[in-house]
This record gives sequence, structure tokens and C-alpha cells, in this order.
Amino acid sequence: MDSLIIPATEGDFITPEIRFDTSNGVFEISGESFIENTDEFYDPVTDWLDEFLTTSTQNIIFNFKFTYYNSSSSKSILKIMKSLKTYTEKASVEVNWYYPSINEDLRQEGLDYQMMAELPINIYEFEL
Amino acid sequence: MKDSSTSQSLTNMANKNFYYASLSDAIEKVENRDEHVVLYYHGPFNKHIIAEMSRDLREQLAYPTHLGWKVFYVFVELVQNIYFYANEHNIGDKGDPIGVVFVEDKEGVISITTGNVATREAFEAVKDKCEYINQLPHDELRLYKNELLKKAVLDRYAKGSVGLAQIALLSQEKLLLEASLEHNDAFFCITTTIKK
Repeated sequence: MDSLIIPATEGDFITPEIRFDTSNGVFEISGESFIENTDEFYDPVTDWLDEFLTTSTQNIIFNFKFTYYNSSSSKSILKIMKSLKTYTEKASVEVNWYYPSINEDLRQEGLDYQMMAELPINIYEFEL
Repeated sequence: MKDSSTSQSLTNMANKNFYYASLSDAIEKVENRDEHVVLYYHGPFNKHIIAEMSRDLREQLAYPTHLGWKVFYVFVELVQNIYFYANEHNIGDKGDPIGVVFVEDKEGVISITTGNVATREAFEAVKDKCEYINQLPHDELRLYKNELLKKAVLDRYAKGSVGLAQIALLSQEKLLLEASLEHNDAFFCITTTIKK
């Protein structure tokens, strides 16, 4: 499959950058997810990912590197985590959750996703 | 016997009177306070206005400090509730939902309040959620928020209260609900505070 690359946008609302690179197996969502209609933005992303995860056996690294997301975006993040959990049955998946060093709440969110998705997640801080 | 359009317009007029009377009370509370008002707005809420207010608030909060992030998070969740659930509109039943929001910089805390008209039924539902959330210890509140999120993934149309639970988690304070009730309508304000 071709990679899925969606640049971040800043209009009325802010969408994160999507970089699912099938050439090296590194997938990343980064930036802010301040979105009014989250389904409209995330449905094509999760559809692409589900197709990849269904047809591929490639080992992948999945990085979440958010600085902000609203509560409606959190539903889509968990949906992705759950898909990754299923994918661990047929390939190696390294999931990394990066949080800004100033924001302990986003570190806790990573721990919450680990529990909700029953998926091992590496938690790392980064400087803004 | 009134025809349905007359009934509807009388209902709208009653709603408007009720809204403005309740709004006046809410505004008076802000104006009588000495604290610095960081942001105040009442009127229609649409995505352009929410985005513009959000940008303005971020500038004032020196975002992305942790405090600024938390205030911004709570602000967005509360104003989106007005956008999605307010039952009073600027043009009959079809315009933008209207409501009020104010952010105050008080001694030791930032306070965020939103207010809007909703049906009595919708208000009672919010009241029940707030009361449930307010009595949960922090750890149980986190588990509750996670359970709501898991349910939302299973049912994309589920109307949860992930946002309210997350607000309470971040603020570590109780959600304060004040309401004026009239017939089948409620004008209610939700206030939460975040320690500096």
C-alpha cells in the first residue's frame, strides 16, 4: 500500500499531521487535534489503517505525539489503539506515546490508553 | 385554538424572554466581581466564533503552559457543549445556538463558566451527570472516564459525558451547576475552576 501522508492544517480548527510511512513501517500522528467534526477527519485515517492492518504483516512502529486533543478526538485515538492491539496477533507493533514535558496530564493519558486498549505502550517525554 | 406556527412563535418568544432574563442574572454576577475577566462573550456559537475565541484565549493564556493548556481544554469542552446542545437559537429554531461564556482570572484560580438554555430533560441529564461525577474520588473518576470512552468507541452515536469527566479530572474541583427553570426550559451555567 502507498503511504498515507496528511499535513497538519490550521484553519478555524487544527488537525494533526498524519504520516503513515509504509516504506519503513513508521507511523506517526503528531501535533494538535482540535477538531469540530472528528469523524470527518479520522474516518478516512482509520479506514486506511484498517485496510493496511488487514492486508499487511509488516512490523510497525506507531508514534503518538500530541500536544493537545479534544475529548471527541480521544475516541478516534482509542479506536486506533484497539486496531493496533488486534494487529499484534500477526506482527510486531511498537507503540510510543510522546507527551510534552510540561504536561503531566498527557503522560497520564498515555497510561490510560495502555489500560483501555490492553496494549503495551512506551511513554516518553519531549521538549516543546 | 392556536395554530402550530403561532404556538411555536409564542414558545420562541417565551424562550427568548426567559433566556435574556437568565442571561442578565449571569452577566450581573460577572460585572459585580472585581476579578479580571479574561474573556467574555454572549451570542451565537458557531465554529468560526468558537475558533476565534479559542485563538484569543490561547494568546491571553500564554499557551502552551500547563495551566494554559488545562484552561484551554476546559474552555473548548464547555463551549462545544453549547454548540451541540443549546436549545435557543438566534434565528428561530434554525440559526446558531446561543449562550454565554466567561473566563475569569481570580486569586489563585482561573474560572470558566458557560451558560445556555436547554430543555428541562436535557438539563436534568446534565445535572445527574455532574452530581455523579462530583461524588467520585479522583481514581474512580478516571476509571469512569475511561469506561465512557470505551463505550463511545463501541457505539459511535453514544452520547457520553467524556468531556465533563475529563474537565473534572483536570480541574480536580467539583463542577458547579446553577440553573433557572421555567416550564420545560432550563437556563443553566456550568462553572469549573483550575488552580494556578
